[in-house]
Amino acid sequence: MSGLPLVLAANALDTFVQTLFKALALGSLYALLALGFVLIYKATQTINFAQGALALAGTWFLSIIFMDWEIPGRWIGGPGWVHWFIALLLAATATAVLGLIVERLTIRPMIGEPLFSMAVITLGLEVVIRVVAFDAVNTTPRILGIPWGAETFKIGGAMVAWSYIAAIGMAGVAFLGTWRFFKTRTGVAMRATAFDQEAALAQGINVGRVFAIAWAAGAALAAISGIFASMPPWGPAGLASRDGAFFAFRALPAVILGGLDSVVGALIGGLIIGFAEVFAGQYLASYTGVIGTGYQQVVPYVVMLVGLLVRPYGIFGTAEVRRV
Amino acid sequence: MRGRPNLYTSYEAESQLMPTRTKKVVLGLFLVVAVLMPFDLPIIDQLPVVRFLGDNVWLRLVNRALCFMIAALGLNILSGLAGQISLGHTFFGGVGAYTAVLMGGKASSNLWGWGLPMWLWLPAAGVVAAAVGIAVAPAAVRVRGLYLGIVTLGLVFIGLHLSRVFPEIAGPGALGRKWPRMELRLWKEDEPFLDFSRDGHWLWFDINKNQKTYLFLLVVVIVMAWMAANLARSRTGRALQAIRDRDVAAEIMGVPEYRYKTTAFAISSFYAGIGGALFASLSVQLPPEQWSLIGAVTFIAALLIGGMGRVSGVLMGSFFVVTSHRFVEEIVDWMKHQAEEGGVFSGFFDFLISTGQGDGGFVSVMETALGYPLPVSALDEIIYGLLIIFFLLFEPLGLYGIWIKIRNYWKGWPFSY
Amino acid sequence: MKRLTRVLALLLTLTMIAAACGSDDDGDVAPATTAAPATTAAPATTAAPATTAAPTTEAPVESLSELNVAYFLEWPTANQVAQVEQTYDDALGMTVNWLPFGSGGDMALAMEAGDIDIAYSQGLTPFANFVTSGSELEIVGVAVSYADADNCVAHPDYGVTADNAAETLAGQKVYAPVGNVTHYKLLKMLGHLGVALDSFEHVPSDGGAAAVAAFESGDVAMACAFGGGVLSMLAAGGNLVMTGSEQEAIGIRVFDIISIPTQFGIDHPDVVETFLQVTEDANAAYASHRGPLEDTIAEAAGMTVEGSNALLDMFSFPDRATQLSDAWLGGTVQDVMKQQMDFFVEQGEIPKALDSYDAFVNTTFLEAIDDVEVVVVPTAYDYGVTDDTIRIGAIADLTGIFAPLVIQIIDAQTSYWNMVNDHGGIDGKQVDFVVMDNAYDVPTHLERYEAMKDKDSGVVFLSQSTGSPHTAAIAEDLVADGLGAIPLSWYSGWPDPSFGKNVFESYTNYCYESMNGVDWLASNVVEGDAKLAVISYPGEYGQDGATGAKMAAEALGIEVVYDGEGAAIPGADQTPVIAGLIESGANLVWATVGPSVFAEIFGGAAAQGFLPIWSGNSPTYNYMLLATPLAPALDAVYYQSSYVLAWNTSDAPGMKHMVAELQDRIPDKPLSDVYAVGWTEAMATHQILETAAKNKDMTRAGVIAAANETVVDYQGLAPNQGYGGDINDFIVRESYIFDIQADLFDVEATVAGGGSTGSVLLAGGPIMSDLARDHVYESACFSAG
Repeated sequence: MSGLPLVLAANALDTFVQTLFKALALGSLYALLALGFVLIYKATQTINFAQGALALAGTWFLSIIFMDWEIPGRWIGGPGWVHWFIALLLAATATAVLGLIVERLTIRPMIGEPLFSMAVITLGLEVVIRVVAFDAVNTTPRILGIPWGAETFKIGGAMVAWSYIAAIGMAGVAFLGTWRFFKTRTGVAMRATAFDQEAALAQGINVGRVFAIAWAAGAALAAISGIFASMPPWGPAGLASRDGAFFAFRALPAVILGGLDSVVGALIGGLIIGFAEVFAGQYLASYTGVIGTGYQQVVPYVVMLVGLLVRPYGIFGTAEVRRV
Repeated sequence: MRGRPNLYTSYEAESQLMPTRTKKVVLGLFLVVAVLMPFDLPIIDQLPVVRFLGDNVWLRLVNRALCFMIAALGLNILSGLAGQISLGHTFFGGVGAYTAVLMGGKASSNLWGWGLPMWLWLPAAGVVAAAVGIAVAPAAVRVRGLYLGIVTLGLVFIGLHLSRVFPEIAGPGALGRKWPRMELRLWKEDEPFLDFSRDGHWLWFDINKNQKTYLFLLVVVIVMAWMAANLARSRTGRALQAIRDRDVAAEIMGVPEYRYKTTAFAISSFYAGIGGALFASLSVQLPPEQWSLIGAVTFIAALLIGGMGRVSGVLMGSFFVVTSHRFVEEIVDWMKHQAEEGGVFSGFFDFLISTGQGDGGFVSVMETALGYPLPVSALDEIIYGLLIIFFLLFEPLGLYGIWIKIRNYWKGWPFSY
Repeated sequence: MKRLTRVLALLLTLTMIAAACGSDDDGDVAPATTAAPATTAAPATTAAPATTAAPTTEAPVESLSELNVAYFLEWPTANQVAQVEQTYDDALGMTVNWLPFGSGGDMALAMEAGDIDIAYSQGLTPFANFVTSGSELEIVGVAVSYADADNCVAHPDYGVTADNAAETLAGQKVYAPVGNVTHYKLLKMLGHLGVALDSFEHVPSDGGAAAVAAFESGDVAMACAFGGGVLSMLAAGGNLVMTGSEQEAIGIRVFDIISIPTQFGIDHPDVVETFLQVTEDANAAYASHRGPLEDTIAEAAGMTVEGSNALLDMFSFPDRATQLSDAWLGGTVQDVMKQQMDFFVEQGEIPKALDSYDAFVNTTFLEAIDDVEVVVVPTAYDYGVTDDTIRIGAIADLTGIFAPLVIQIIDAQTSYWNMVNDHGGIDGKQVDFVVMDNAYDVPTHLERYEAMKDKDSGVVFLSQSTGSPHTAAIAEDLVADGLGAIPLSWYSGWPDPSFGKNVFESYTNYCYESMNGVDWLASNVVEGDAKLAVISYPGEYGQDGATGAKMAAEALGIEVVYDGEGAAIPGADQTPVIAGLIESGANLVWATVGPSVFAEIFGGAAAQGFLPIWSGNSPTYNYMLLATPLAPALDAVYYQSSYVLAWNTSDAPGMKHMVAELQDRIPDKPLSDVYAVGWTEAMATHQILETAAKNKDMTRAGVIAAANETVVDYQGLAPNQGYGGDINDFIVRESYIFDIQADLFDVEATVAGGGSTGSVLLAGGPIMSDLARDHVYESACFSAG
């Protein structure tokens, strides 16, 4: 907290700036989640319903690594937030390993089966991972040790939470990294596999390895977005919470709107949905008598529907070529 | 000719639902057992699984499974026959349920309800749900694959939102309202002439409410399953399957895609509406949050585990999905008893099971255990998830596929290679 | 001359008789020195007594038409049932007059004067005193044996205990009767404690009520009494210097006798026998089934039922065989008399004692009556109870959205039942606590209920049913099956019998809690005029609480600047609510939501600079939020409201007991505010079942009846709770309010350390707003339709 007494946003411009940052932050979270979904879909043609459970697992890993085992604090010195970021990377890696295991055991054998079956396998995975994670995230509070806590800073009269900046920054890093990655050899291999598996195989690409990388990356992204969605002033307020398992489903409209197999679509879709949700929430709040309370939950789906009516495969998605 | 089951001499014979004598006999036996199951009869007591399914506690679960089956049959028509992925099936179930409560429920200061008898609200539930399905169809038929799945998921959230806009129909959030009972009345009189929701006396024996409800639901399920099976071999059914397999080709052959997809939505929503209304009546009181994402996902799982496209597969899958938790509980309970009473495997189970703090093991029988070892309730869920995964990994055709394999084996026995 | 002599002799005789009769002054030391012969009352009218006992003796005495019996008020005894129902009158065929006395000495004097025929429950010591000085009285039976019900209570201000009695009593006043067993006990006890008997001033007492008055005046360091007086003094804060058992251990035996003038026994032995027989019957009936008799006894004794029962718990009424045994009239009574009189001789209270008191015990009457067999009425039961076990059920959410909290609640309940079992169970039966999971799903709840209500393997009572819709779904079935349930929900509809007849709610409800909270905060914390914002979940929990808050605002004239009833949707983004709050400029917010939604709204608003005073219904807050970066803000502006005490926030006996037991049984579990919820649920169930056991009826219907007559005593953990009578009398209207102090909370703390969840009780106890107090309850605040 930046000290009491606090000054409320004085005018409409400040409110707008506050809302803008919150929308950017939520949009970034959605974009991160959407990127995870998209990477997995691109490689293995399946939508991964277990992203939420993996996000929860990621928060749990972070809590264990940073708070209980005190890694890397016990080995190296330096400021706390550096430790935290290192722990974040370690937690993401741990979740990526979990994703690898999952992929090897359950997804790899299912290549070639109808895509719906694979989606349902991820449903089964979701149940298993979620239940185990719930059990682990038990009644003792699992603190995530966010370095900047709930602190805010001022831009003019507007108060902006550091968590928002962190989320925006993280999304930026992730997307830049992905863009860079797709220019590397492995990245090109992944794009080729996404385009046509058989042809990629014929070209000597290790398709199995591509799948593994995609799932690992998707899981890591899920973990990161789960952790950033747990910071104050979002709901879990810096604790690993069971609600984290269901946050990922809020990003599905973003995935669809942007196009299931488009990375750019994930970013744009995420931002659009985030903006829609937050701005509608802020500026339509006085109309709840007409549109009913809780409208902010349906706004993403309405926007998605409108988008799909215009472009049935998402804004940037590849239209399916249907052959006779 | 007898003894040559695969020899068909006419088109009608081939497209019969039960082409062979064996099938007819088996179905007949199965129906007889199903009708007699809830009653405490000597014959029933001999049959292994059926025997305890007739218990009061299990019977409630079976009733729930029957309602689930009705809705799942609808989803089978939409996803199994027509190939449209829908994650919004619970939404249509909710529509049916709320129609039922609006028409059949009791009015009060905050709630609307017209108090009509069941023979009006039950069909109306289906019809209104079908109408909503038709209304949703124009948006849905333009989208394909997983996109359609997520669009239908949006319906679930829209439904939840609507329930908050209309608490007069849905009741207050988290509490809900009471549903009309399963009873047959002529109009609005107080005493129904046939009441399935209270214990009573039929002919010469006492029958309790779970048994009555079971028989009623069994009849409904049989009727609707028969209708669904017939649909599959009718003209509409063939059109839907054509769309599922290659919709562009179907369009070229003269099967209007949009019209049949709308039909599929309508019919599946009708089933969902009926199933939802009966489920709500069975559960007496439901909060609006009942019609949620989790239910939608369970339907898909039921279909896939049972075997998409086949009525018998759907029925088996629904039954499995609804009752598997309880089976796992029973098994763990049995393991616990074995460990305590020194049965044959007691050492092994004792190793697996932990009875409290300090006793080592992987699974704990204390309901409130947290962390490691796992509590029983967590284990149920995990096994359920694992079963979904295993089924799809090893038998993508589901339970029906397993059944076919068994049947083929015995068909060719002793030459089963 | 002869005539005159006769007149003078007659006058002299009459004078002597008058002198003898009129010489009773109460409360005096030692018996009268004149040995006045005890004469019988001689009513002239004849009425044939219908006796069932042995035939009359030789002496042709007139039959009695009335019997005068002496007894003590505020001294509940088993035979008072027969007294009130006039069983004595019917058996004896005459009117029985029951005359209350203040002391055993008065009874003896009255017997000597002929006013009393039988003294019931007379103290042994006054009897012994009187016969030592020559009264012709005899003991015919032992009435009551009691050790704890006659004692000396030290006044709290003087701090007298067994260890320091010698010093603390010096120079103080002790208020005690003289010449009875209380006196005897006092002297013996002080002698044992080493108190010099001349170091204090002994103020003679007039009996129970006077002792209590003296105690309350604060003038005396210690007051001795028997019966209700002891209890009153203890309730007023006094302490026992030595307990009854400690005194018995040093040889002080306390009992009352049944005595008669010896002549009366000679003249009317059949009356005595009949009296004893009726008493024996009454004692047997009491021993077999005390429950239904308690109200009658209490009324006859002129006490409240609770007070009477408290004393009855300390009494025992020996039956004929026991009375005739060596331990009593076979020799011990005589020995005790001798000991007491010798003791008094030593103390200088009386000049001399007799050599033996055997002559004063007459067991012939007792021997002539019949033994009455005590048939112990067994406890009836139908389902859920067997000879050795009682099955209590809980359908709880162990895997659904409230699982983390409910699991802790169940842990506390399980610990309670383990404790009960360790102490012998209920009615000698062990408790089997069956927990089933409903995953917060209504159909699953119904399936579990099916198992719970089963006739063979079901339960007799549900000590928990999680969830409002779940409990509402089974509400009708509960009535049809005769089962009762305690809901884990505080919706204000549960007290309404048309909504939940067999649903026995705990503590107050969300609506009243909101009223109390808003009222207290607006009056005590908010500076200036309060501007209230109300936010809540949609549904019966959220809107019940919101309705209560708005009712309070209306009653207090507070402006509601933001009405967010039903606006906070769980699982959705909370921007609209935050926007509405900030725009409203409220300085007091009442939230009826859950912890994570609360954290989002509170944190989101605080991040934009909005920090008014916050509070909300109990489920809104979870102490775990103190582990987050929101802790300082919560410390500054949040006030926690609850209907039960938060962890370790008071020294109430219930709280201390719970903490101690949980430290024993679940020491490694984390702290939680909800253990008290589970513990009190179990307490309520336990007390209901104890009532049912006392009524000897543990059938399901019997348990429901017991529930409707039990007033649950939570021993300070929550306001006491009843279920019977008019709703507006038993509905609980108080709640608690706490301040949050983040530095009291340690994340790593476990139950073993006691510790705190960061809550500090304000207002010294439960709060109740005028609105809640005066509210006439007709139905739920928020109507669910």
